[in-house]
Amino acid sequence: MKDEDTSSGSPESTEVAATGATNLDRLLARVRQTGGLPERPRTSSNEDKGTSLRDQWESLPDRVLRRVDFPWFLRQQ
Amino acid sequence: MDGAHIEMRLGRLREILDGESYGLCCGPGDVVHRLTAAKGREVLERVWLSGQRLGDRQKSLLLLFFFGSEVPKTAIESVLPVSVCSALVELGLISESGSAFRTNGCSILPFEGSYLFAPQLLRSWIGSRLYLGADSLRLVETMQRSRSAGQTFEIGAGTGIVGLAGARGAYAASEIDPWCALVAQTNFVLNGQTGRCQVTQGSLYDGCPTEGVEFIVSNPPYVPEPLTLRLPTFAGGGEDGLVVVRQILEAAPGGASCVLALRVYGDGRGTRLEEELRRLSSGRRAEVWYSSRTRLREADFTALALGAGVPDSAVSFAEHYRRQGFTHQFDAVVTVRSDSRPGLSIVQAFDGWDDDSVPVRTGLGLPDEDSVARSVLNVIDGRRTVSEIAATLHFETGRQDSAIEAVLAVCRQASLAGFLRLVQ
Repeated sequence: MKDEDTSSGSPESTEVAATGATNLDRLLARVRQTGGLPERPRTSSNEDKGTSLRDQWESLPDRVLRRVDFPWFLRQQ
Repeated sequence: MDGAHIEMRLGRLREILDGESYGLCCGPGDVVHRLTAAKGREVLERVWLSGQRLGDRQKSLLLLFFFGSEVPKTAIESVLPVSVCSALVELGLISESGSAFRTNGCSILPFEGSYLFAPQLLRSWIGSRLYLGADSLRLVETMQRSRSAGQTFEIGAGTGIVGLAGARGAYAASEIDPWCALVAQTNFVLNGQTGRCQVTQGSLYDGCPTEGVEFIVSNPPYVPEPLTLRLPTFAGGGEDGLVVVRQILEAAPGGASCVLALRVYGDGRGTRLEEELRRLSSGRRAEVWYSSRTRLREADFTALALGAGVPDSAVSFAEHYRRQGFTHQFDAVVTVRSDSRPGLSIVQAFDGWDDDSVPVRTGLGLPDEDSVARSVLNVIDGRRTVSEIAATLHFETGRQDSAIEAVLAVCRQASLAGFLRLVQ
């Protein structure tokens, strides 16, 4: 696990950065006040039917793609 | 965690995304264009090809932030400090799911040197409150073509992409959804643009500077919806789709140019928007630029029904559109500005009126032969003026040089020939 990192990495001046932070504060307060953090939305069609990304990949019509192995990012799911 | 601490963590996130070449991992720079054009397969292929060479840290970032997969906390925390993860949880961008992190329907997309928290374009999310679509990009491109660095005010910031990539000068925006306003501000912070870009939670002209605004821009909610079925805030445009458009144009500050990118509806020959603009733009010049026209199909109504969260309501949408007389949808960019020549001008930048349109190529440098031939024929037939053709060609190619002038010279000759034919 990485250590806490406190560098800002922002190219802005302190004054400008503070403006951004103030607006973030204001908007966060508004979101909390309205109970507005999002829930993970539902997905449509294939995923509603319980079809995985792997199934979607398998159903791709392009034969060139089908010749290659199942992609690394789908294999991890 | 307060705003200053979150800002610090977002700065660290930016450094990590840069350090891990996140943008390159997602593929080339046009990934957002391809995703909004529903070319997900191409994007998957490209990312797969680049993915073979990636390390575990890069793969973890991509899985979480690009593909929206659940990723074990241990894998993510080997790349991101715990404090950065906490900040993203605080902002509602990711959440903890047992021993894993997952996004709340957001991805991080690279776009022209910026990183954007944006809706997951690779999957079709229902209930997403944030919007980024091809019309958003059309608005960005329109603003990029403007040579002015005047102040811009946007109604409905969404992801804030217009502020980050479209507006050349100072940018302020309203956003009615509190969380979307937070995401836009997060994107400004993430990209170090808070000195130039600000968003206010509110509707229409809330937060609009009282003077000095040169552009009022918007990708407004435009989808016609029956009274009984409600689409998400970013989509629903009332009964005829033009409710928000009317509100924007009626209250626009004098002297500012309005630029709207939207989809409008009508029959095969024109749209309801044109009637409205004749009424709303009195004393001003309105230009409508249609880049595509497609016939409404059953699949469109199914998509609307899903968007409204009532899957079996497709028939209701179809009936509503039939009652409104809407058989076609048009992608459009509208500008309304003060001008010595008030009136309405319509430019059709696609092929034919009888069949479904094929959008013409844009930004490719030179007009293709078909485009030139079509321009000349339009002039001969008196359907287009040479100045309209000039505007079309400048729009399509992004050029204003001798090659375009040569095409226009042919059009002028054709125009003269057409005129002579009429008077002889």
